[in-house]
Amino acid sequence: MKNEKAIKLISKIDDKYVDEALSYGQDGNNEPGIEKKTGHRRVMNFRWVAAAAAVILVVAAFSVARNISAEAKEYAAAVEYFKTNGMSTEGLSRTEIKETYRRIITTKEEILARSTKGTWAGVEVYKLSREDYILLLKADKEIAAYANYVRKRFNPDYDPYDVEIAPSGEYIYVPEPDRDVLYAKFFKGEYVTDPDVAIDNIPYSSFEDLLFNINIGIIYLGQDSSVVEYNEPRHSDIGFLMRFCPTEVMRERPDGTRYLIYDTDENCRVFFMMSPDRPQAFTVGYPILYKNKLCYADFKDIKPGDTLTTVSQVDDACEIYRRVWFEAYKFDKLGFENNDPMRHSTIHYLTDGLLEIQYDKLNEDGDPVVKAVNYYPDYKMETYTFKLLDYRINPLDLPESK
Amino acid sequence: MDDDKIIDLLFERSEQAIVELSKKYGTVLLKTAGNILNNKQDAEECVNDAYLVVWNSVPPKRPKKLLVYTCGIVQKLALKKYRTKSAQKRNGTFDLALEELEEFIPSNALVEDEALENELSKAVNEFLEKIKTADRIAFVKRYRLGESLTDIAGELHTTEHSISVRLYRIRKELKKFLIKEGFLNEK
Repeated sequence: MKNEKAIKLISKIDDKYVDEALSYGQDGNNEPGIEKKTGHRRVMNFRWVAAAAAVILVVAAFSVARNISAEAKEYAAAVEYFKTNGMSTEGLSRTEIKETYRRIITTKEEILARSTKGTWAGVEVYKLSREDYILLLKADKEIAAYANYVRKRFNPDYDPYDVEIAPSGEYIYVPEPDRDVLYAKFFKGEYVTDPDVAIDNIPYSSFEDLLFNINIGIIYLGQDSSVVEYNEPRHSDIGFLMRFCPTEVMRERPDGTRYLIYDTDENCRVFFMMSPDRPQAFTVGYPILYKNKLCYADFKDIKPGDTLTTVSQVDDACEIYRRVWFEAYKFDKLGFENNDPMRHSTIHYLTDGLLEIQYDKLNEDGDPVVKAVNYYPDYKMETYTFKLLDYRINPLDLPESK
Repeated sequence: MDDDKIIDLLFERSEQAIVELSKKYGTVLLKTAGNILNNKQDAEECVNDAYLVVWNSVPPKRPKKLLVYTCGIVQKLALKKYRTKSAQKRNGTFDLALEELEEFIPSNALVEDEALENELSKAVNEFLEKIKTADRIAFVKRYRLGESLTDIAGELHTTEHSISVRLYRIRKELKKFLIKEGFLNEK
């Protein structure tokens, strides 16, 4: 406990002193008043030090050359394996590529070798026992780390290893290039493409279910899910939603992009935008939580420095965000305190545009403080991955239109 | 490349910015993470994570001091990792530095009070302002940057023993100061 307090204490040492300590010795800045060891003895030692260094250098160079050669061979083999299996090395360091390769060719292949090959929804898959499935996930450091993260952040009681099973209840492993194809098949419903046709069978899912009980990191209310857009491996959002909140309809807009709709408590409706790059498989951007019919003028007095409570007086859907941030996302309070670059925003779908209100810290009462108010009259907002996402919702899908 | 240029590259969303950042400060960042984590691979991961945080946060942020900003991120990430790992194994150097500091943490129930924590860190910063530059550098290197006595001695061109004695004196002075300010009981 004291150790934790000591960590907190040192974290708060002023940055200017850290700067001073870090820049000591740089650019000739080395005059803090501590005497240097100089003079005769240093000069005398120099020749011996230089000779020893030369010997060490020769030995080290030989040894390094041998290591580099072995390392280069392994790296080349790893890159080749990535290429052959359609895996991307983008964003991975050389060490990470080699480690992933080592992990795959040992443990993962052993597990897959004893599994049964088969097809699921027309895609070739490995069918595994639950034990092997968990072993496979654990063998993959990335998946295991993600599972732990999800467990810690969202729901400590939830078994993250249950996430990737197909809606059929089978434990399957899908080789990387086919994953999206399979994930897309998790949705077996109808796409409503006619903009003049209203959707009359919107499913209901309670707040408790949608945002708390079953939320294992798929739904980021108030956070842009694009932050994990290119995470690999990534759980199938659509698989998760279809398993826990099944629906038979998805709206397809004229440009081919889609969104899912759920009715929930307090007459709220939730919209999940689906990634245009990986259709149907993953959510992208912020979920839209729609409760009240409002326009931009309703928010005219909101400014940086206000709090979530103030914004809530205009749109009481904010209280749902608050609950999720502080009750479902166990670590969001820390996110605020640590200047987590992940934005926390309430998103207000208005009659005349989209409003994003960003919060960046907590005030003394623990109330999130408004950092910025961004208005998008064309409903288009940039995602975390710098893509312009169109949030326009067919007016027939908004609750008051019915 | 100077910091402003690197920040400009970040604003232009040029990945070259991270290359330059790594070239310029990679070693010191790795060292900072390594001081806390005592594991090269963990330290490398931590520094890579920090680059991603920098990439994601600049813009909109425009740090005044790029090294301090990045180093702060590295330290936060390293401390997070340290917390999760410290239950499993101990890291000699950093644990020792923390233990040296623990005598300044009041052990009564009030330590849970966040306001008190803030006051305490304010007092420590006040104390640092008053002491000699050389002492302050040694203190910050040891406790904030988690450097070993050997490293500090090397960087400040003195002996390990001298640094050890110097830090002992600073801690003694700090204790006196905190007693005077009412944070610690006189014993």
